[in-house]
Amino acid sequence: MDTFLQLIIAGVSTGSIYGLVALAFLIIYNTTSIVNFAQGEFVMVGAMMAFFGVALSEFGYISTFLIIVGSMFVLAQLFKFILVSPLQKRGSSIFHIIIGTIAFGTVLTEGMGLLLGKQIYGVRPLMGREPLYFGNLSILPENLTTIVVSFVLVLVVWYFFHYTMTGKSLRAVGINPEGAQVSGINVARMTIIGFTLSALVSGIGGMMIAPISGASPYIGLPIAVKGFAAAILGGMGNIYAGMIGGLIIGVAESFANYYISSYAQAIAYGIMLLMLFVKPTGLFPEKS
Amino acid sequence: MRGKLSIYLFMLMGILVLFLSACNGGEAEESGTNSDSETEAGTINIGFVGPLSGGSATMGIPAQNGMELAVEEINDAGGINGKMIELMARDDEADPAKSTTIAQQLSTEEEIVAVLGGPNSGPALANSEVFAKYEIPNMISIAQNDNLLDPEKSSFATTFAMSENNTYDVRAIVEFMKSQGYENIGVIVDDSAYGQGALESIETVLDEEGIGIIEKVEHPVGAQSLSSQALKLKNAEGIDAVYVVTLGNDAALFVKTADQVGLDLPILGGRGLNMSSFIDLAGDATEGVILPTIMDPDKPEAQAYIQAYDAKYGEDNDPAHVFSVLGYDAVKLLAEGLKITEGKGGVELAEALETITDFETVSGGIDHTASYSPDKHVAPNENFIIFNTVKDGEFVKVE
Repeated sequence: MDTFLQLIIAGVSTGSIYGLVALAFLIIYNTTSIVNFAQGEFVMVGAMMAFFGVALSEFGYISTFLIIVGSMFVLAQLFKFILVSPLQKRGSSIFHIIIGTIAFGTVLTEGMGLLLGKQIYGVRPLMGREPLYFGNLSILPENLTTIVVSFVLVLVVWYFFHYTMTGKSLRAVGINPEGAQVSGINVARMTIIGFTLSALVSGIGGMMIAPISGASPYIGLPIAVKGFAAAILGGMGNIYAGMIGGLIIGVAESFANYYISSYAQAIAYGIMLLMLFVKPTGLFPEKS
Repeated sequence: MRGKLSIYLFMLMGILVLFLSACNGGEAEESGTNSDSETEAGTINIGFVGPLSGGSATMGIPAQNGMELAVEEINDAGGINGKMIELMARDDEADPAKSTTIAQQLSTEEEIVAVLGGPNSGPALANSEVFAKYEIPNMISIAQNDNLLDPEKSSFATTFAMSENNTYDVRAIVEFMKSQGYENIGVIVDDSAYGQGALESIETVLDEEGIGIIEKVEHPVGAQSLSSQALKLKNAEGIDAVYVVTLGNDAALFVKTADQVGLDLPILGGRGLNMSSFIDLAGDATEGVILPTIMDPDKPEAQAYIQAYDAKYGEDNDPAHVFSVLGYDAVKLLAEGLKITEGKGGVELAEALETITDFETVSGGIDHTASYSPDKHVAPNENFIIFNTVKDGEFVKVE
C-alpha cells in the first residue's frame, strides 16, 4: 500500500511538470492558434536562468526568480517581434509560423549553450534537501514545491482568463480575432500578453525542474514532448485540461516504470497516439 | 472543426517525430580550435571527434580541454622534432551518424596524422571504421564499451584506447564488493549505450564471480523521476548494495530519491558519477557513495595536473578530473608515438604505438603505466582504477 501511494506521489510530481508545460503550450495555442514547438526551450531558458542565478551568481531564489521573470518577458517580446509579427506581416500562414517556432527553439538552445555553457549543471533546491515525511510516505521538498507551484499557476491562469478584463479579451481574441478587433480589443497587444503569460509559466516550470534533474541547454525537447502529450490527452481546446492530462501521464509512467519497466518510455507516446485516433479533441474538450 | 483539428494534430505528430529524429543530430556545428583547413608548414594535425554540445558535453568538453593542455605542454617544449601539434576538434553531438560523417571529412579533407576519440561508445565504434579505412591511427580517450577493440576486426590495427573497458571497471568494483562481503546486489542503469553496455559486462562478470543480481532497473537519460526504480530496489529482498551505472545528474536524482524512499543500502557507482552535477544536485545524499576513478590524489603528477587544469579551466569544469585526464594522457601517448615516427602518421605510427611500454601517465594509481603491444591496444595495466567516495561534498580517495 505504501509503495502504491508512493508511486502516486511520484507520478503527481512529474505529472505536474508535464502539466505546467502543457499549460504554457495551451495558452499560446488557445489565444493565437500557434503550436509553439519552442515551448520546451522556453522551459530550458527558465532552468538555465535558475542555474545562472542560484549556482553561477550565487543569488538567492528571490533575485533569481526576478531574473527569470525578466528574461521570460524579454523572450516573449523576441518571440513576438522577431518571429511572429514579421511572418504575419508577410501574410504567412499559421503553418509557417509553427515551423518558425522550431527554428526559434534551436536558436534558443544553441544561444544558451554559447552564453552559459553546454554541460549539465546542478542547482540547489529552494527548500533545502531533507525529505519530508508524512507517516510512512515521503517526498523531496523540490517535488512538493513543484506540485504546489503548478497548481497555483493553473488557478492564477484560470482566474486571469475568467475574472479579469484582459483575460476575457484574450479569450475573445482566441475564439474570434476579427470579432474581437471589431469590438475594440487591441489584438496585437493581447497576443503579446498571451506570449508573456505562456513564457512566464514556462520559465517558472524551468526553475522548478532545474534542482530536480539539472539544467542544460538540451533539456527542452524531452520535456516538450511530454507536455504536448499531456495537452493532447487533456484536450487542445481546453487550457486547464493539460494539467489533468499531465497528471494522468505522470502517474501512468510511474506505475509502468515499477511494473513493466522496459516499456515505460512508450507510455506518453502511446497515450498521445491513442488519443489522436480515438478522440483527437481530448478528454476534456472545451464546451462552447 | 473536429476533422480539421485531427489533421492538424497528426501534422504536429509528424513534425515532432522529425524533430525527435533530428534531436541527436541538431544542426551542423563545428566548434574547434582550428577550423582552418589549410595545413601550415611545420604543424602536425591531430583530430578530435567528440561531443562538444548535448548531454555528453560534460565529458567531451573536459576531454578537449585536457587535450589542449597536453598539446600546449608539448608545443612549449619544442613540439615534435620542431613541429607544432595542432588539435582539430569537431563536435559529433554523441551522434554515431554525425561522427561517421565527420570522420570521413577529417580523413579526406584535412591532413591529420592521427585522431582522438571521445567518451561515447556508439560514435567511437562507428567512426573507428572510417579512420581504419584511411589507416589513420585512432586513440579513443574515454569511451569504454567492451566491443570497441576487437582483434577480429580489420579496424583493430589502427585503433587504440587510453582507457580500460567496462569489464575492467566492473571487475575492479566486484573486488571491492567482495572485500565488503556483498553477496547480492541491485543494479540501476540508463537506457543509453553506456548503461546497456555496462549492464552486459556486469551480468557476465558478476555471474563469474558468484555475486547475484536480485533486481535490475532501467531509466531514460535525463529522467524527471526515479521513484519507481528506487522503490523497486527497496522492495526487492536480500540486496546488500546498489550499483548505479548512469551519468551524474541521473545518479544524483537516484541517490536523493533512494534517501527519500528509505532505500538505506550502500551505493556504488560507475565512472559516470564523477561529475559536479552529481554533488550539486544531490548534496548530502551523495555522502559515502563509492565510485571508481582514475585520478590518485597521492600521486605528484596528478597533483600537478589538477593544479594546472583548475588554473586554466576552473575547479568545476571537471571536478574529478576523470574525463580531462584521459584526453591529456591520450595526447601524451600519441605524442610518444609521433616522436618515434618523427611526426609521420599512418600505419607507421600505429606500429610505433605498439612499441610503447611502461609509459608514465597522470591517470591511474601510483604504480600505473601505459603499455601497448601488437595484441594489446588498451593502455592501462592492472593499477588503473582507484576508489573515491564523497565526503563533505568533495570526492576523496578511499584508503
